[in-house]
Amino acid sequence: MRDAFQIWVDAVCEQVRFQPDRKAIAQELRVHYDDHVKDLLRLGRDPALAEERALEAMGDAQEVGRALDKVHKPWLGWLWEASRALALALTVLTLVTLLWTVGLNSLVERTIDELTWEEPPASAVKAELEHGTLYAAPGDVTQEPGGKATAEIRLWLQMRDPLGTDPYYGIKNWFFTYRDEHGELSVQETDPLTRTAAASRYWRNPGVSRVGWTRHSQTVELVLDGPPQWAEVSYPLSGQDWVLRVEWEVEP
Amino acid sequence: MKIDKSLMSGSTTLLILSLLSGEEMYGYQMITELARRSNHVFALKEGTLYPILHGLEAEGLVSVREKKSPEGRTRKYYRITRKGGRALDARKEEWVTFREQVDAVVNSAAPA
Repeated sequence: MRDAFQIWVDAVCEQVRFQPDRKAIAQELRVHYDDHVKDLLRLGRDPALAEERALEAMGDAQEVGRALDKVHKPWLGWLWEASRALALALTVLTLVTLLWTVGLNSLVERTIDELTWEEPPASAVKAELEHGTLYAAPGDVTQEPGGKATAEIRLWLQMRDPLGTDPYYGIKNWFFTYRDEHGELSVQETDPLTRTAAASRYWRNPGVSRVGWTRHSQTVELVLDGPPQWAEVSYPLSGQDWVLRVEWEVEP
Repeated sequence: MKIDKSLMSGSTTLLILSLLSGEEMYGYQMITELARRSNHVFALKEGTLYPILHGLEAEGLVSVREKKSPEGRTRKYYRITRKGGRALDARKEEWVTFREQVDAVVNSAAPA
């Protein structure tokens, strides 16, 4: 049930066209009224009389309401609300963009990298390059029907930034020379193999750029005329001499 | 003696800013202080204080903050701003001039 004060304060708030402010106004007036009632009770007034006096002292609800409405202008209030909403939207948008471009992206990449990255084995051979280190190790060799064999060569690349024009650029872009006891072939992304019937290659790890360094690991799968005993990988166009020789253990 | 309402209305800003120049206050406190300091001559209809306060806030003459009273009630406390202080000085000057001129007119009209 609404008490007499609630009826009064409702009448005040009805006059205020900017509705979002009504609650705060009613609350402030209520606190004032309660203070006054308490004061009168402290003076020993009868509760009913105290409430009546305190309400009477508040004045005419219409007059108070109209005066409040003049101060709480609706267009000003809505403009304020709109600017706040806009500021909030901009903040959220900025945060999301920021998180997406730097935070989330690198977080996902880093997690994938951490989960999938395998360090090169101790037995891996390595070449120290101008901007980093290249490791190589023999992978599986599988005998295919018809005398052919699939041989895997695993490569790891750890580079310091900036990369510039680097000798291992060819490796990154699948352009290097492969040589084994049967002969030599060049491996390119566009023109995969010249010597064998088929070849495929896959990334074991897509590679992650970080501040200061980048690492990649990849496995080259080559379909060869026969199982190799050794292989040499190099990139003669690099301007820097390096050859990595991997050897497979020959099964008895 | 109660003062005519229309005489009060022109001076409420001056009175309120004067009250707040000493300390920050909440609405009911202002009413009781106003009554006390004026020997109960100035009695504002209490509800009309708030449109005035909110207007002063909109003009930047007072600032408001919510504070819990010792009894645990959340009250809005009003405090005069720097701009409010300057407005108060101007209003005071205005008032002194006004009072002097009213006195001059009233006294000159009095029978000798």
